[in-house]
Amino acid sequence: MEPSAQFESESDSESVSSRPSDESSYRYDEAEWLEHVKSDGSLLYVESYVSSTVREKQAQAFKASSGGEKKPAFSSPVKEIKKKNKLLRLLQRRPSVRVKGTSRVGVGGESGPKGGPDLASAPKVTFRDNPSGEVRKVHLQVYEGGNNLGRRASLCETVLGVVPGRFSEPPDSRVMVAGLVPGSQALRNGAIKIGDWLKEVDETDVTWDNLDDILAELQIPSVITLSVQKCASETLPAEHESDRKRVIQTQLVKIVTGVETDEPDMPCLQDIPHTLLYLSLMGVTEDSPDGADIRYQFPNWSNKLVKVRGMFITTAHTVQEVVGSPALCSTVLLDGEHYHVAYVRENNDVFLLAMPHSYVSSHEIVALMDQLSSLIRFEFETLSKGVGDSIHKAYLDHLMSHVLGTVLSQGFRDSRRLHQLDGGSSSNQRNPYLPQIPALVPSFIFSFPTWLILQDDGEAKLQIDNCLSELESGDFGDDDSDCEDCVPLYNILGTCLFYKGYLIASHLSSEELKNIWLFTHHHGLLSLTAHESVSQLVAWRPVSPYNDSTAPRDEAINHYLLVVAMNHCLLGLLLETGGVTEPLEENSGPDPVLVDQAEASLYQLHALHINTICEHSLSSGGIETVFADDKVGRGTPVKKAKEKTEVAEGGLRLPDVPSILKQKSSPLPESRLHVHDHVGCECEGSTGEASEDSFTHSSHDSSLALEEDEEGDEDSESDWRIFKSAESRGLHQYDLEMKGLAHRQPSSPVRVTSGKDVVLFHMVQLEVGEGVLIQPLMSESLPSNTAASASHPPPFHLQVLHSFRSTCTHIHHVLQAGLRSKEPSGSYGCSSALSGIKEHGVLFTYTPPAGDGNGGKRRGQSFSYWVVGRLILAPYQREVYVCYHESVPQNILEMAFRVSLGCVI
Amino acid sequence: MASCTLVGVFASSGVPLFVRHTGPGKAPAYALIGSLNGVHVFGESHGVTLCTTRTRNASLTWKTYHDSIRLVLIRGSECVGDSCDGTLLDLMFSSLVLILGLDALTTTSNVERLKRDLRPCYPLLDELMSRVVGSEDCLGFSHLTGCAECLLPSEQQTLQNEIDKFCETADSTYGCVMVQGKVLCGTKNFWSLSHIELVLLPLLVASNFITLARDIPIYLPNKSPNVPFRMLVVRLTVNLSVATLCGPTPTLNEMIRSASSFWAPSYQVLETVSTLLPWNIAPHLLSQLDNAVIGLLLVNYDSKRCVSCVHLSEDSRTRPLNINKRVSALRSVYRSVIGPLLQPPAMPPDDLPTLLQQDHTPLETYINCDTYKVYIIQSSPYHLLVLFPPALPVHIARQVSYRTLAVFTKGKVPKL
Repeated sequence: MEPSAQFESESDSESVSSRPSDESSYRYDEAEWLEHVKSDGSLLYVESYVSSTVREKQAQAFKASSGGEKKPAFSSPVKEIKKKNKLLRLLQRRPSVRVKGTSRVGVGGESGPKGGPDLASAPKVTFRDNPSGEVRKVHLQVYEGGNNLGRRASLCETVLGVVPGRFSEPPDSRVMVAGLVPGSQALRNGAIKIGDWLKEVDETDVTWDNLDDILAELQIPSVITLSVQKCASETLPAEHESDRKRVIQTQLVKIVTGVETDEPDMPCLQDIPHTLLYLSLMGVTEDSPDGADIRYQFPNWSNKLVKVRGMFITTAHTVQEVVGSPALCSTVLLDGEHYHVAYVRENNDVFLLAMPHSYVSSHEIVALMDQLSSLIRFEFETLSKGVGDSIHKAYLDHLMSHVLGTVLSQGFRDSRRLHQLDGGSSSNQRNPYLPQIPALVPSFIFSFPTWLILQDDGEAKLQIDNCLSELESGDFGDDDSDCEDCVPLYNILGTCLFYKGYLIASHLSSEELKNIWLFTHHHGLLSLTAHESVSQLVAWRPVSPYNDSTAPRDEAINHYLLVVAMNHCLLGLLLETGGVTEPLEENSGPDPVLVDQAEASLYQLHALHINTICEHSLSSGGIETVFADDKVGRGTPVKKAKEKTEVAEGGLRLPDVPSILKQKSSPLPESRLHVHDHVGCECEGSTGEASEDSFTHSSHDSSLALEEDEEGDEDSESDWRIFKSAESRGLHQYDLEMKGLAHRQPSSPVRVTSGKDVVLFHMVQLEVGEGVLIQPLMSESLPSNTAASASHPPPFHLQVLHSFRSTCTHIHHVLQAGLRSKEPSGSYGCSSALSGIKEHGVLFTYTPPAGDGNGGKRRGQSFSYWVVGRLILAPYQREVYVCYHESVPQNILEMAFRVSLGCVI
Repeated sequence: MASCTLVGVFASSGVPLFVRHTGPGKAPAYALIGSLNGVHVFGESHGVTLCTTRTRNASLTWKTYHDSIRLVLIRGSECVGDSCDGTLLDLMFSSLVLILGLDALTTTSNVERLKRDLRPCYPLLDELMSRVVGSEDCLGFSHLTGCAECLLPSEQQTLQNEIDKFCETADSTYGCVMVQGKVLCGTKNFWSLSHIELVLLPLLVASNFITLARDIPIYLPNKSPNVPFRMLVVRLTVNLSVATLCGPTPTLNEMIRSASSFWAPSYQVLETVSTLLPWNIAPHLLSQLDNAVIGLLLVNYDSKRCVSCVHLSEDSRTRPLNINKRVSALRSVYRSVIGPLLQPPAMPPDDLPTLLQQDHTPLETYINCDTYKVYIIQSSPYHLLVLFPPALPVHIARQVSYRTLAVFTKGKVPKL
């Protein structure tokens, strides 16, 4: 990406939009990101907040949304939404709503720009929020005594009608337009804005020191040329003050978008032999130079594995011929260490990935390779068009440094890792390619979008679904006013919404969802939105989502992926053009109207407090907060009946106020089915009948809840104590969506989307430890961010989680092996005795090591817990994994499974 | 039934020495075998050793032994762990050594002669391969467990004394009594043989059962790969024979005579032992087993013995699982659980370690299928796999499994 190129052409979109007369007809074709669209139409544009702390943004979001709701448009829900959209769109266009942590001196009110914002929440800081600084040439008529202001006025005021001021940040010799003299030419001209940097007068550079001298030498009267530049905030480093428009990006954003590259940790990387190659023997003859067969290579240095690439090509081809099914993975021994090499074949070309066994297991590398090849096929249609084409080299290199760096950042896969975590050391948790990117610890086997379950009885879910459905159907009400000649350019096939990297809604088939997830995940967009709040993110790519389908493809139909993000929300849209819509010209960038609509949807969601709900669900919901550390080994069998309710309570143990408020009113049997809620996330497709009433009311509700929650921390604390004193078991659960093979019945009550092949596995992790302690919520740290959780001491819980994860991997393989053996392929395949496998469980026993000095958290007793995986084939294929304490009786387990099935037995 | 192909290649020249194939389909063509060998050779010349390659439901394993013989195993089966069939391939190479001796395998330059010499190894290889693919008549587990398969007679002590005394008279320290490839009793030195030897010797004895007495020169793959022993096998009853490893003396005739005279007084005991088949377990132990148990496999890695029992009668209300299915169920479960998950003690550690927490030890596990349920207990040095009907709840299966383990390990019972 070259985001900072070609800025000059965009001159004054900001001033246009801030003029009152233009407010109603915003010119879409002047969106900031438009400059960044590449020649092939693809785009990745990210803009950060200037100074961003989460709290500030939340406060801002709250203000913005409550500001929106204060509008007296509640009478008709539909109307309200429309108005809100419109309003929000205006807000969005206006940088003024982005609250910046600035401390600069304000300017005189009466001389401020007339087109100032009319929102009380964001007064008069507007002029400084423009993240970019375009240089404008202004021709100004000056004449003797033009602005007669008396003797006290400076020469600048008299001559130019500009009140000079100084910038607060260095270099402070620059002259700022601190105000405009009423009635002056400068004011009437309109091109000079308060806050601008007065750069040049008649081609002469102006500083605070030479200003008067220059002005004194002017020939008066005459027409002079001023050169002014809009200035971004003071946080911009000095280099940014070149005369180019700037996008404000944090370091992380720059790395994600590839503007700046990190210094890879070269010695470390070269110590780890790993390589990704795309090999093609097409057109390679004996005389070709060495390496002519390598169409793509990452990383760029050679190692022994690259040298023996001929062996891998031959192996891939021969093995397929011998066995009758394609080779997946080879294990080789090199210098005493084992390496896995995963293959993907396309025609006669081979795409292969080699990594050491100490980083990935053979099954993981196969899964990773599968993801990589699907992603490349998704983006480029075929492997040869993607990795086989040298023009994509830079793009792919960036992608691969994300992907492979993430794998390598996991460090050695041995148990030493956890001990390092105990010590809080996260030094090896860095992506060696992009050290600035915070490393997440992914599991490549369960590498599917993680659902975040909203903890408010599905109302937020309903709102999100409504919002997305509206976006999909183009039901914006006020579209007509925005673009009169509107012919639908795109047909939106489906959308999905992520919050901080967690999936919260999807209107896509599982295959499409997986592809979009792969794109956003591997390009680092999900982790970006998880770690930072972005001001604006627009990504656009032509994609080909339906490679696998055997149906003949309509050449006229093109597919595009649009990803729009704001704050922590990321919205993915899969678009289709050409069929029912106007054919789109080749290589065109995203349609500004559409981007605007998508962003408006995000704003609407924001206004509906989706962020807050998500944040609640994240911090108080399922994932991180249950630690098994305390009272380890105190497992006393509890009576069945009691335990039953405890399990239920554990599921509802969320201390967030909104859900508790609602639970009080809901009948117990429903609330007991907490795990069902998790499945409920799959039911989102069925919200078509959603009443508009609940839609509007809910925003009241949640804003109420929010207010309560901000002061209600003690309340939630006490809720906790109740649970603790009751010696309850906590449940630890999270869900993963996985794609399966079986076909789903359209009549199924838990149908997700309109897709024909929707198949979902479902993973629930329930962890029941005796006397589970909930840590105070760590709002900043993500559940998956082990580095952050390591700063708190949950070592034992981490260990349990760790062995849960690795055991799930094992169980998954066994279950899959059973499934695979049902469908023999190739001459060696067989149906083995595992073919009817349904369940696989492992009992772990933890015996504390002697002389453990870990703060007395571990008693000398052993602690046993089960990890059970169950394969469920009907009504559709999925896997459920449960981790629970040994003393939980079988019937509770059965209940957990039943409940997780969404009561489909 | 899956297929399995074993290819032996002369490493220095790449000439195929033998191709054994079991199961449906045909062995791959020679050209393919050539390129399978070729990729390995190419990699080795660059310092990269190709070990395995997996496809969705088959795996290929390459291994070169002593720079002279390369074995390639193509096996139709899912591989759950990272390492697939290394130990099986070791077993196969060892069976070549057992018959031919290491010197003959590694130093010969006459490929044609070597090809001929390898023919006597075929029965042993075929036996191993038909176990791999799960043929009807091969019900053993020793190739998986790396332990000798045993019988658990109630007269264990008596028989132990007898075999000790017999070996003294026969001037040998390695002696055992076998029933259809299962060891009834053996001398102390016999049990000191390596895992591989204890697996292969009973297989060799069982592979040719029609003869009354045999004198086979064998090389012990681990103990003496170059100096042959004479294995003298004398049949005592219909399916029971005594085997001793001897030096140059005694002759086979002397051995037959001394065996028949020595064992004649114990004939009654030997006859009752024969009635252990096909249960392999003494009746008083059998009676202690729960009715729900329809099969079991008990492995003691310390004493290198294992015992299996799959002929337990099943409740007639449910559709009974036939014997073959039971065996293949136990085998599949063993393969997918032990190694990838449970590490057998006293076995060499896997060269591809899995990542499990050090202090968090998996001790029990179960696999539940449509037609059966297997519960596995690791209790050092034992592994116990118990086969149940599918309907039995897991927690009951667990209790029954522990009771079953106690039957074999607690109290004054014939020890495995």
